[in-house]
Amino acid sequence: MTRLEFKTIVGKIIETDPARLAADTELRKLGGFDSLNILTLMIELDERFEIRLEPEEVAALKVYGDLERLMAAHGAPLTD
Amino acid sequence: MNAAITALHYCLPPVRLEQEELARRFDPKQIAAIAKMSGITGRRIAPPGVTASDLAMVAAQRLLAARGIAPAEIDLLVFVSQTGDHQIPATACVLHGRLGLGPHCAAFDLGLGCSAYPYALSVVDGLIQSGVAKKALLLNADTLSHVIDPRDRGLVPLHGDAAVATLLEPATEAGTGLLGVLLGTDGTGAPHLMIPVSGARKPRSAETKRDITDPSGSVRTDEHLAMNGPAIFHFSVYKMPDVIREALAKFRVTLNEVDLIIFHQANRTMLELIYKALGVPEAKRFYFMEKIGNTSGAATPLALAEAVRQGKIQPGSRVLLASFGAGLSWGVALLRMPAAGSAIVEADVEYPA
Repeated sequence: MTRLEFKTIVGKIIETDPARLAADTELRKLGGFDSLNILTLMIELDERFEIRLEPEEVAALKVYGDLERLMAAHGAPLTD
Repeated sequence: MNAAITALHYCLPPVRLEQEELARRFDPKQIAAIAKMSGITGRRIAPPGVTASDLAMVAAQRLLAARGIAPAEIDLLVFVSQTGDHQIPATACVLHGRLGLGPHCAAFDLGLGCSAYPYALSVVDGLIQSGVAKKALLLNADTLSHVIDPRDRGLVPLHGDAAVATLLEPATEAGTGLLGVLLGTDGTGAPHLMIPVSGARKPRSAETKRDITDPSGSVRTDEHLAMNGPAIFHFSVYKMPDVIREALAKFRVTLNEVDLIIFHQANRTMLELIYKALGVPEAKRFYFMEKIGNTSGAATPLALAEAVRQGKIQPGSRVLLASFGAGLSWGVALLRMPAAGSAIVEADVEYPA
């Protein structure tokens, strides 16, 4: 999956323009990165990529780049 | 003989907390999104002064009256709740007095939340098998709305209050009643669903009344219920299918041999994911949360009672129950309803005005 496609998925879930998602964008400062949308993101990653995020991984998410690193760590690196 | 469920009845509190009210209290868009995910669009709430035991008493009285059972015939009362009336004494003892039960009736509380029903069935079954009890009244009741901060946008939309009365007696037919139970705990997850200040560990103080605001603007204090959503989601959706498979293997039964599979009514999306992981066909799924909310320890027996009332469970039906939540704690129970006689109680389910 390309980085742009992934940003589109994430942006839709957390109700944020994908163009705002840079590596250093602080997720918790985005209004849509709330508890409900985090669950939706967990479900989406599981259903699309069979990636099961651990609660500790979710708790450690700080910036958007952390999400891309998680994808790579779970064997689904993004392409440009 | 093992224990069999011979009657089930429930009581719902009078206040209806609807979407419109929540949309006024919180961001309407977020409330709509929560409803879409949870499948919960209404809740039944106990007003101030009405406790879990009040709801349980009504359910119990109506069950006894409908079945023509005198209070003196009940020889075991188990009250299961995390929102009891007092720290001392056990709420079961208070209920024993209010229900007019006799001096030879044992009465005690069990303190578990969402996972409570399989545990309670197992305990009552043991007391029936050991000859302690012959006619047991199991009361599962919770009023979580009283321990959730009304400003908590994450928890308020999900939860309601309810009570369920279950009558258990020795099974009269072989192969019926409670056929198997699997129980488990992961205490390292206890902080994930907890009222941090609610007992001896940390006394209430001015500090514990301080508002805690999360990044989305949801507010609570440490004297209210707090939930780590991702941790509970992970536990429910990823752990429970394995637990249920383990239980089926232990009980030597397949899903094909079970008529209905009922889960703790936490959140519709979560339940759908668990059903899907197990390959449970639509016809064997059951949901009862849309207009009442997640009623904690009452939720599993409430769904069971409603499935009986709707005729989804018939005399002789085999039912698998799986309950999970605070603790972290879980339980799975396999039961077969008695072939002779229905567990339906023909009575009102509304709390009296």
